[in-house]
Amino acid sequence: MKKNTMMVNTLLAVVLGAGLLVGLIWRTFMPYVVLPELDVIAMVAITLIALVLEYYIGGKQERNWAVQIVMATVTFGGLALVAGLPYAGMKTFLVGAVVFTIVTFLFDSMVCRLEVTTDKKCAVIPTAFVLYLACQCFMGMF
Amino acid sequence: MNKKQVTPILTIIIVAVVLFGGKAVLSGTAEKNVEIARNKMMSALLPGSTSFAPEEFDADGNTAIKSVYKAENGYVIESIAYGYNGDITLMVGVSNEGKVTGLVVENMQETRGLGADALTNVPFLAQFLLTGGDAEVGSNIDALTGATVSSKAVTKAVNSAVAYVTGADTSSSATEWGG
Repeated sequence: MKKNTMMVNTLLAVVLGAGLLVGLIWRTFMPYVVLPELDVIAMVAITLIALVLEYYIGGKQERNWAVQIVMATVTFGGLALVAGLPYAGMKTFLVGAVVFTIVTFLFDSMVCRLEVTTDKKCAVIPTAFVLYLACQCFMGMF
Repeated sequence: MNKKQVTPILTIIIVAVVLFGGKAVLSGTAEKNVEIARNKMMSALLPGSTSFAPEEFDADGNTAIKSVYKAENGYVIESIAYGYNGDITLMVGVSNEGKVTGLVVENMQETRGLGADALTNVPFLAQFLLTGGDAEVGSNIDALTGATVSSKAVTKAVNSAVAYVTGADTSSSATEWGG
């Protein structure tokens, strides 16, 4: 039976927080290193890492979409603001919400298909990776 | 509040507090390190100069310039141009005679493997040395392969820096796509 634990939001905050903390330390001690921005591609990667971790830790989850999207929006926008990213603002909140919704929906749809296979545990990582590459290619069109 | 929502909300708050605390603790060190790194970089960009003083400039009338530092034998100028994927910020050393003595890309988010090569491609960057505001892709500057827009943006930023020192007008130098 599917559980609804909102674990992905907890993991999203942890993964994003860890990334922002590493960036903060990096910028402090190596101020002229050019770090990647928290753009669409980075948000996709962070969301997918959280989703894969959620799958391995808690199995397939039921979603409470409205609450989870709001929490993801606050996570991306709020933590970026607190970390002092110069470009953080309303755009980060909106893009975070859209990216989380689309990526989670696509990942869940794929995982539904994987449920019928025998080696589903191993297939989750390649699925997430292919989804990441697809998003990267899609963004490259613009 | 639903019991299931408590864990993620608490996690978000804890992570935010850690980030805020980390930022507060490290901000002093960060400012000091930026200052040290900037002085080192400026000394390399303008050989022979040791002290650099920030200079006031008309920021509204010159949007391509971010900051200006005056030294004994020239200027170090932070200039900006719009590349393929956002602003490219350069630090350019310009002698009092209006010649480029050094340059470094400070920040950019260009495509990896293409425009982002401008960060580290020494032969590309070396072409700008000793130019006097006359750098032009296709003429005396070879663009990075597959990154004409980024190359033109770097060229525009370098020319803007030189123009600040010489007083030349660079408003017509197009760097937009196909420009």
